[in-house]
This record gives sequence, structure tokens and C-alpha cells, in this order.
Amino acid sequence: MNEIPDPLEAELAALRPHEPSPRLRQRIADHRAQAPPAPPRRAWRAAALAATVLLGLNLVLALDNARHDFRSLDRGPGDLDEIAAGLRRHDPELPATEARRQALLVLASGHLTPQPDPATFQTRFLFAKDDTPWDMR
Amino acid sequence: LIAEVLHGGRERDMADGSDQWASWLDQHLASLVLLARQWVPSRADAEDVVQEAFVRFWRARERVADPAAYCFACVKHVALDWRRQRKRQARREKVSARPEVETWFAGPGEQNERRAALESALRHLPESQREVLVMRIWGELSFPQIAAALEIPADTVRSRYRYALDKLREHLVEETIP
Repeated sequence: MNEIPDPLEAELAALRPHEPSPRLRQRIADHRAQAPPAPPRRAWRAAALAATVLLGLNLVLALDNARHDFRSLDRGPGDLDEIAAGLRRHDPELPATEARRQALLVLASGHLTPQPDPATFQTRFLFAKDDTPWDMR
Repeated sequence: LIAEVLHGGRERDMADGSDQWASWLDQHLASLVLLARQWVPSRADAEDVVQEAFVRFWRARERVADPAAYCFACVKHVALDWRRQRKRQARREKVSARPEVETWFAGPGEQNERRAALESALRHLPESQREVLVMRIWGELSFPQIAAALEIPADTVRSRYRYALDKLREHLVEETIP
């Protein structure tokens, strides 16, 4: 890297590390011989590329579908008017809400009991029949 | 781009060709052992570390961008694992560390004194600077390769290298002045 060679660097580079033992070389050579060969790089790279392309296509399709769904939900005021008009068209065939309420009131009138007076409601729970407060008994 | 993906870069050729790899290993095995020695006390232990690192490297060589840098990185990681285990074991057995007796470098006898001075200066360097120096000078890795092996920025590698040389100089001057 340096243009001017550093004498110290040159001196250091002249030092030779101890040669590794032949046993280490042998052990490494044995391991290389026994290790299963690496799969052909082109094959796995092509597979990885194909998988990436497929994944990308799926993603594009999913995004397109999602966009379509959002578009169907995104209705403007004109669309709402259309829905209301459709409901109005069918209104005469359905029982009126008021008529239904009246019918329910008539049916329930026989079973209704008078509502307690809110002013005396709480005292019924606070006092016994002899008007003695609960905490003084 | 597809052709590049399928064919791979030039840096990866070494991982393909078994012969290329064998010759690279022939040239750099000694420096791999030297790197392991930075964390391991004896040459025999360093050789065990290098062998284990090689097994780890060989399994993953197809997946790495720079096999040479990765090989050095494997040696460092295995050596650190080894040291951690040994420390734990030493604590259990209460065995004191053996004194360092083996030298790192070989050479003719007449240069023994200077070699010893350089080695002593190297041993006094911080680990982070020494590993950069070993990878650069004896491993012949480029600064970007060292950066990849150590997972640090290339500028940090350059500055550590520069500091290491400065400290070596200082140490050598101190030793020569009585």
C-alpha cells in the first residue's frame, strides 16, 4: 500500500513463522479428502435465483389482490346514494318500523309491571320495614 | 447481473478450485498457525486450532464472499473459543498457565537477538493491533480483507496497523537504549 517501503515492515516480513508440522498438513488433506464435495455452485445459484423470482411473483400477485380489495371498499358518495336508493326501492315490501314497535308494545303490555319510583327506590334497600337503618340493628 | 450471480466474482474462485485452494493453503498455513499463536500458548495447540478452523471454513467456503479472509476469521474465532475453554478448565483444575517458551519465528541463529527483540516487541502490542499486523504482513491480506475478517471498518484496520508499527518502533528504541 505504501509507496515508500517501510524498513520495519520489510524487516518484519523477513521473519518467517515456524513451518507447520507435516501432521497438520496431513490432517487437513485427510479432511478435504473425506469431506463431501460442495454442491455445484451454478446449480444452487440457479435454484436460489428461481426461488427468488417465484417469491417476487407471488409478492406482486398478493399486492395486486390487496389493492383490488381496497379499491372495492373505497366507495364514494355516489356509491352510497346508489345503496340508499336500492334500500328505498324495497321499503314498501317490508313491515314499517313503527308498526313493528306498536305490535311489540301491545304484546308486552300484559306482562309489564309499574316501574319503581326513583325517589323511594334506594330507601327500600337502606331501611327495613320498621324504618330502622341497617347499621343500627 | 445474472451472469455475475451465476458465475461469481474472482475472489470466490479459490473456493471452487481445490488445487488453487491447496496451493493457497500451502503458502499461508504457517501464517494461520502464527495467527492462532496470538491466543494459544503452544504451537501444537495452535495447530489443533487451525485444523478445527479449517473444518469450519471448509463447510462454509461456498457461502462466503472472500474465502481467504474468512479462513483467517475462522482461525481467530476458534482460537478465542479454545482460550475461553482452557481458562475455564484451568480455573476448575487450578492449574497455573505454562510459561511461554516457544518462539513464533524461525530463522538462522546469527539473527537470534534481533528476532527475539522483534518478537518481544510484537508480544507487547495490544491484541487488536497485533492481529492486524499478522494478517497484513504474514497473511498477506489487504486492508479490506482484514476489515472483512475482523468485521470492522477498513479505516480502523489502517489506523490499527499504523499504531502497531509506531508502537513496535518505540519498543525497539527503548530496548536498544540501556
